[in-house]
Amino acid sequence: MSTINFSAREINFKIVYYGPGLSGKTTNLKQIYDQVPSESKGEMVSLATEDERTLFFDFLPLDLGKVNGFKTRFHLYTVPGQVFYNSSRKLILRGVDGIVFVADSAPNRLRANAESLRNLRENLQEYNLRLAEIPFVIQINKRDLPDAIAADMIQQVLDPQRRVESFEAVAAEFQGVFEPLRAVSKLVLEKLAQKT
Amino acid sequence: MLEPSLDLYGETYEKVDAILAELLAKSHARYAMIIDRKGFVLMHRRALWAPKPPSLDSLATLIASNYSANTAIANLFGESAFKETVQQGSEVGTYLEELGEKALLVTVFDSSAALGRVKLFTKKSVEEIRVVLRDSKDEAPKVEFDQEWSSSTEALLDGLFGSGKS
Repeated sequence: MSTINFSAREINFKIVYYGPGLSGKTTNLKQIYDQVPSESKGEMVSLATEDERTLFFDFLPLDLGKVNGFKTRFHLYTVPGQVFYNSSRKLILRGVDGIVFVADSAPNRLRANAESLRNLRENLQEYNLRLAEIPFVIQINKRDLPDAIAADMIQQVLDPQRRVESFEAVAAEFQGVFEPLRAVSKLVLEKLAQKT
Repeated sequence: MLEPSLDLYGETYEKVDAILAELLAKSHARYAMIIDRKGFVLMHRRALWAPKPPSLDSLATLIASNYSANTAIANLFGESAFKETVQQGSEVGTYLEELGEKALLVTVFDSSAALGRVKLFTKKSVEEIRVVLRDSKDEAPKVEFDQEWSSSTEALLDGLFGSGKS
């Protein structure tokens, strides 16, 4: 749920990058951090293990700018993808406004993609939320893998009815990184405009 | 849905700000912050003598996440929450109190402040803020999120992320 801070004249939104381990969630945030001008971003925080796997979350605050006297801000988070960190994933979803699901194109990760999406639905239920009610887009990452499976097949598994926007990406090369973020941000802002 | 985590505006804001100022003066702490449990900063105060704080966004996010993790640990043992959250380094420490169901009051102190004083005055401030919020008669300012607002935000999105491909 978006938060308004009248004293600081800010509207804050929380966007979470979700997906299976090693699908590229942290890479997305690092690329966004590298590409966004310094006046529009804050510090990036990463809570990672020694081997650079996400332990708790990565965090990057972005300032969109001012509209009607209110600063619009997005706080981007990643979750740890590894299966055994589910408690942490659940905590990060508290107050989520929008979700980018980062899917892996490797053939042996198709099942992990599906399980991660199922896990997302289950964790949202803990907050009485349904995925269908939340701004949500899919990024199909690692399209440069030589044995990448067809994007259609991944979509068929994750979103067989094609209800949400999906974007092909090679996040490590900054391809298809901004598009899903822009799309989910737009959905989040549209949802706010509809509800007020 | 859009809502403030705490109704902090108008006279209420001024009163809570004064309480934070008094907290800093009496506890000799560096900073006092009210954050919501999602990790957003709601308001903050810095003692005149205190060095510039680190990024407040990072601080608020880490404290709120740490609080959530500690609560989850307490739940594993059948507790609803741990009663105290204190972090103490050799120079700097943080003390945290719940402020209603959605927010936290965080006091950041250094070795010049006694932990006992910090705890005492933070607890006292929480009670005073609760009373101020309970008695508040300020009405939330109206904010319009109309078509014009949508167009303007979309233009900002295009400006930041581009309308084409990355």
